[in-house]
Amino acid sequence: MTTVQLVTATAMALLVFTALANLVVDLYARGAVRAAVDEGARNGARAGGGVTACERRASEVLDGLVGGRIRPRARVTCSKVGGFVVAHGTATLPGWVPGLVPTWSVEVTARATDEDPR
Amino acid sequence: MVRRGHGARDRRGSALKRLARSRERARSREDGYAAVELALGVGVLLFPIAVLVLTVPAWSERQAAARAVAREIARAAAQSGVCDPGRAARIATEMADGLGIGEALGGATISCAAGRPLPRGGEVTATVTVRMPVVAIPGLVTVSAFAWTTSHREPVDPYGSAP
Repeated sequence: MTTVQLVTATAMALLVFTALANLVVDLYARGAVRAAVDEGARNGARAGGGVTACERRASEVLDGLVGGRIRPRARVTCSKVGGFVVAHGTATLPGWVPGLVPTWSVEVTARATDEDPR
Repeated sequence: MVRRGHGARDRRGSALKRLARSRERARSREDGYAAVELALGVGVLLFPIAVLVLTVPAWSERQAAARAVAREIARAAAQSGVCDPGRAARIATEMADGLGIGEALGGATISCAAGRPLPRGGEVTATVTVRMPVVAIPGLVTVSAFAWTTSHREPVDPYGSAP
């Protein structure tokens, strides 16, 4: 009986630990997307920058910060809205334990005042 | 001699049986202790550490977002060349919402005379305050406890033609 309890409790503790590690990695990925949109918007806002420069820089930042299964699921799109360069980042972060940890969708937006608002 | 030998074996056998029974009783009193210890270990050690591990990144996350907001409202003011605290507050709210810290934004101000042009070659300073969590478990609970303030100083173009 004690063995059964020990095995059950250990399994539960391992599941909790895995879910926790999953959450920490997801938080890191969200931070990476946030850094990418911030860098992208700033790069696109400078004179001679623009939407293409914003998306290129954001993509470079994502390439540098995340890899594996997460990188193809994270993307940044840029646009010019009302004198700002707006970078919108999305990521779909899959749960490591299907059924226990749900997929987490992250959306982050950054903006920077456009120095070249043409 | 034969009878005495049998008696000694019987006594030894019954003593061993008593010992085995007492050990069995002692073991049965310890049933379930492993589960209790594990539950206590999870509750007292693992859970507080997990909360700490999840909360500390939220601090740096909010600090980075607050710095980005301060930088942007100072840039926007310096770029336009006019002191507009209302516009600064609007940009701060929109940026904080976009970066996911909308509920944590405590305030955003710029240091200049409202409605007046910014002096060429001068500076404009933006100050942003965010509430920091003591407990932050994404999707479950966030308890804000203290405030953190950051500033960004942006130079104003000395040769700018606007406004």
